[in-house]
Amino acid sequence: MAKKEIRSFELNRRFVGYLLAVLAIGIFFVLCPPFRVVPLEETQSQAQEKSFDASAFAETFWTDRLLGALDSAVDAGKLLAAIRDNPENARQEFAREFGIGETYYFFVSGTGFVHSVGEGFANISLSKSLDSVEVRLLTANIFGNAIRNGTGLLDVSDFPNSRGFNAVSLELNRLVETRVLPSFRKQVETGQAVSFVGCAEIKEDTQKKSPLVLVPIVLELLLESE
Amino acid sequence: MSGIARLTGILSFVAFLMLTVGCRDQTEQTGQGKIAVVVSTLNNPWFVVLGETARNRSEANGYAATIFDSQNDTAPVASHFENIIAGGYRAILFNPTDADGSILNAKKAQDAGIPVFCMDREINSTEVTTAQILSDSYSGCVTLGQYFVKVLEGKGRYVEILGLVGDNNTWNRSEGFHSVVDRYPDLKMVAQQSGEFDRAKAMEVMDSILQSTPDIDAVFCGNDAMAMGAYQALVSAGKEEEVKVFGFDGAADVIISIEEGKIEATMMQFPRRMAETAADWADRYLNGERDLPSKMPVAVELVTADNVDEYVPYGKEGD
Repeated sequence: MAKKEIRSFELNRRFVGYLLAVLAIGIFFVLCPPFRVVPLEETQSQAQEKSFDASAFAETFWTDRLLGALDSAVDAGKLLAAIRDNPENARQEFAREFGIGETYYFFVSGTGFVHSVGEGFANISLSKSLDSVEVRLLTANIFGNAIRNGTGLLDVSDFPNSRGFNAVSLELNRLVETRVLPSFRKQVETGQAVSFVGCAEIKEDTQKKSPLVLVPIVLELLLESE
Repeated sequence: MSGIARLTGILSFVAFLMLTVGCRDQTEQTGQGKIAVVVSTLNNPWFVVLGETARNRSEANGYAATIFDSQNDTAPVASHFENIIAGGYRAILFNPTDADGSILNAKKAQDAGIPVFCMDREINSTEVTTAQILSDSYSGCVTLGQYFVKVLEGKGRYVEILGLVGDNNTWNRSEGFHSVVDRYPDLKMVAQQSGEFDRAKAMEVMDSILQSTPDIDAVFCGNDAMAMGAYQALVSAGKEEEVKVFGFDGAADVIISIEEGKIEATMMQFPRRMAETAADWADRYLNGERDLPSKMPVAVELVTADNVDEYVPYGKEGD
């Protein structure tokens, strides 16, 4: 009888021991969970929260730096003559490289005449006779990184996270779409004189260098007397 | 007694010879020290090319190089870095698994005086790395997005399969693609899920999406392994002819699939170019150069049926 009681007592003690161990493990996992289920959207929004305000950055950049640097753009006539003469030398002298690869950029300004207007672009002739098209201005949706990379004013190394750097590009394109293009699209007509500043992205293997396809930063339709 | 002494003497001499030969061999191999190549996964051929190129280039530069496989998991990365620091490596060529989760590891290496050079994948700090040589995924996917719009003629229903959610390349690719495609209101994304850059996972995800949303026109995948996984799921569902698949990487099986008309397009990254640049920059840094750019984007190129003959797996003809 006494033996039975002792055995029962030992079993109870062992049971309490197991219970305490399970409880301890339970408390440990509550305090230090080994994993947490996070919805994909939440992860993405957290990442975006951490990123900086690309819209504000682009706005300040546009006003304080870009518009003040327009004088550093190369004249379109000069650039096209240099390209005709020796494309490699023209690239060496006037292009801005971005990283390793075959893509490069020109920051270009000039005055010309509207040769023709199409869906999403305006062709520009540098001579009043309108006998050739040297520049094509993009006038619809703006994609890519021509302005961000073309001016040479922004350096990817200054951005700890490339997503922020890319978001700046998107915002600069939006500024072109909302500030530069609407009034031009509304007023442009064949034969008009136009002053322009913009950036061209050249993909060595695929893109012809003439006409130069520009994402405009400044577009101004000029009166004939000007 | 004298026999034992003679035997001991002979054994000691043999041991000495072995040690001397061993040391000389080691010295020849590690003339300039050791370089660690930490790769996110060796389960994907693209990263095998990246890792092996980094190792081979480091060896050609006079270092002994070892590849560490992180198995797409941050936990092994931490232990690799501890071993690398304790093992006396002189530099780390690093292909991270997580843009934020890898900062601490790189910091530990930096504190131990070991420069870190990222390859292909970014970490969210330029303070703890010496340089980051990265594919320009965003620009690549702007180009791919424009081609996607052209192929689908601006309308249709599509699925996006994302990579690892902690990796910046995942979002740079997705955001580049959407910066174009979202401007076309008749292109509707009907599902977006992570395939974790993994072929089997993407196949599983695509399979499940096809059961709930069978009526689709295209799939955009954040890498080529997932594009192949998605394609396999489409084959199983008998939809491979009607659904167009787009990838990103320039992997061998996708280049062949583009030639065969199975996959619509990919973006060619240049893993050899990135790995060689990282290995050369590590060498230059260890030889005293200090003015290396902290970030260096590497352009990617669109590969379609029209120009696939100009490319080979993981690079360009003549590279």
